Amino acid sequence: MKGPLTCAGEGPVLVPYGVDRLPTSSGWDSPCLNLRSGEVLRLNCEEFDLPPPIVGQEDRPLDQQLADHLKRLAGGWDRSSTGFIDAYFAFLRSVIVNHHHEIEARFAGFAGLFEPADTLYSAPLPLPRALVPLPEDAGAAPRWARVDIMFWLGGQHPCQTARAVLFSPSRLPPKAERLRRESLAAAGVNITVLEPGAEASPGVFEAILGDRAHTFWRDETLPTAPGGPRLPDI
Amino acid sequence: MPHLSANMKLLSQNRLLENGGVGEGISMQQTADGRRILWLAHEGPPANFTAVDVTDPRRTKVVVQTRLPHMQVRSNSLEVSGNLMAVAYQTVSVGLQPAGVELFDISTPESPKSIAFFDCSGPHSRGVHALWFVDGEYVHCATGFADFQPRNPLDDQFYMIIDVRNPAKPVEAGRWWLPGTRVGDAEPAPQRLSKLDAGFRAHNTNVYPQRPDRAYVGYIDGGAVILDIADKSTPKVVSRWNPAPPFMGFTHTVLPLFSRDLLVVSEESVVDAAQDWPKLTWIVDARHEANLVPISLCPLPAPEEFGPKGGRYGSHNLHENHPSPLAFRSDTLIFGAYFNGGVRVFDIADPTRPVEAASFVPEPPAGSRINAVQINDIYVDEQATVYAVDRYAGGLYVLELDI
Repeated sequence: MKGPLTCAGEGPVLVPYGVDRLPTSSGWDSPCLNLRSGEVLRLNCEEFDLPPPIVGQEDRPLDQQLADHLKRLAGGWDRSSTGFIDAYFAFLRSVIVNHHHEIEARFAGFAGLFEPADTLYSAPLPLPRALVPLPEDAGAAPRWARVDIMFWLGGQHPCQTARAVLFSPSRLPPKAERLRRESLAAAGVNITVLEPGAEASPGVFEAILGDRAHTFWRDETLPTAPGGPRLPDI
Repeated sequence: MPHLSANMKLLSQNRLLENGGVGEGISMQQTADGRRILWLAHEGPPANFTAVDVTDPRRTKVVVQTRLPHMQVRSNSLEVSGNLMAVAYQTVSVGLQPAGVELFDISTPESPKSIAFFDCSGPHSRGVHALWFVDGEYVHCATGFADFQPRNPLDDQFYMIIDVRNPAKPVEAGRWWLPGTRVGDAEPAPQRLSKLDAGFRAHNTNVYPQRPDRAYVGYIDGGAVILDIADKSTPKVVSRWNPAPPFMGFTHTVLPLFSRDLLVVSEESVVDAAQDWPKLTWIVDARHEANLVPISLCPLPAPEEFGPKGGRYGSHNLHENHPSPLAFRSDTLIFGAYFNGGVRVFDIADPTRPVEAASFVPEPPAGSRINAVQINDIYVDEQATVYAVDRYAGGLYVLELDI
């Protein structure tokens, strides 16, 4: 396992998610993702497991299933995260609407195989309760900083590509919160702190994602849905 | 040195000119000249309220201390909004005065100026026990009134909203009482608690800018009440949750945690030696506000440990996440006052499993009629400095949190 974020730009970075902390016992099976420099973590990431729909909800649209799953990963009693995820998906849909004709034109040669709405899954994935690996001293145990939401935007160096969203009020005690922010800043993670309701403010997703907020739909040649069957390692 | 402490340390203590009995009113002001003034309502006469300069929390200084007009009245509760302060007055028995709310201009803390008095006296009224004033526009309080006759004398205080947008002329905006508690109600009187009848009346009445249409009311033996106050003239019940019976009643504070759809509900211990144990601090799920579900309790030391130490032991006031830039706000850390159990801080990151994160129990204060501290109320400022007060003699304890 490659632990901490470094500026070396080599090898994947292992990021657990959907948990508040790493378990202390062995036999742990928490979800993780291997994140690589130069690769954006998208909603259709093959490694990101999307469970089958709940019985009786098989007809629920895929994007809503995905949003529901992300909200479950955020944990219970967290209106800030669920509100953020809902607002993010609404934002992505609005971007697609605004670029509807351009997207249609891109798929004109595919005889209706793709729809503009399919490009939603090319957008960056908001990873709930991500444990961001921190730079470590030689010989020291790995350290992690839990962030409420993490985006991985595929910069050339890991220290330039991780975007952390923290909600206010913090879930951490004051000293722990201060140490978290200091650690993330030292690791080169870009931090955005959102007050309650700020996810509904204009420009919030542009501030977090930069240009990619409005161009994700043309990042990939063809759309891919999440939750597809994973190819076995060969 | 403290008697017991974990992750907290004492920065200073101020005995408030030997009037160290403080009630349930702690509120912070930032003055035009940059000072931080903590206003404290005293638990009983002769002192009314005291202002303490806490700009340097290690060297606090009394700025002004005022006195009550006689010994049959107490203030106990106050709140500051900007440079306007509301102070409660409650008499020892019905029919006396002053009983109500007084508004002060505290622009110059050394010289508080009375602006108006809202009279709540009456033949069946003791006046105001507790008030909440955070938006500069409305005072929310637990009070009696001239036109309110309770069926049971213990039920003499209800929830009232007072419009103070013109602070020189406060007027009633609305009220709510538990149906059945007033003479003339069509509803039957509530069933009294058999073990300890503390009354069906209002205590803390909190309203927040995140939900200005909601009042969160501790209604003593009536439990926790959420009211729809979109129309302040006619508050309506959204939901009510009451663990009593079989628990011991005296619901005191209902603290909403808006980012988590939770409530923290504290009771008040009112009998010495933990004879009314358990008096608890509940974590309640409010994702469906019409269906409140208790999910856990803040863990408290056993009554055998603190009950015999003297005075009361059990839950009481909480730091209420005042919507002020001068207040600490957290939906995860809960700060409580537990009488001789001192100050206790709970981490409810996992609301199904609260854990104690810090505590501080001062030594018995000199001059107290009880050989134990009785931490009565608590306030945490935006820098997470903790201000806790003793009910009888210890005055103000300023604490530093180390978590």
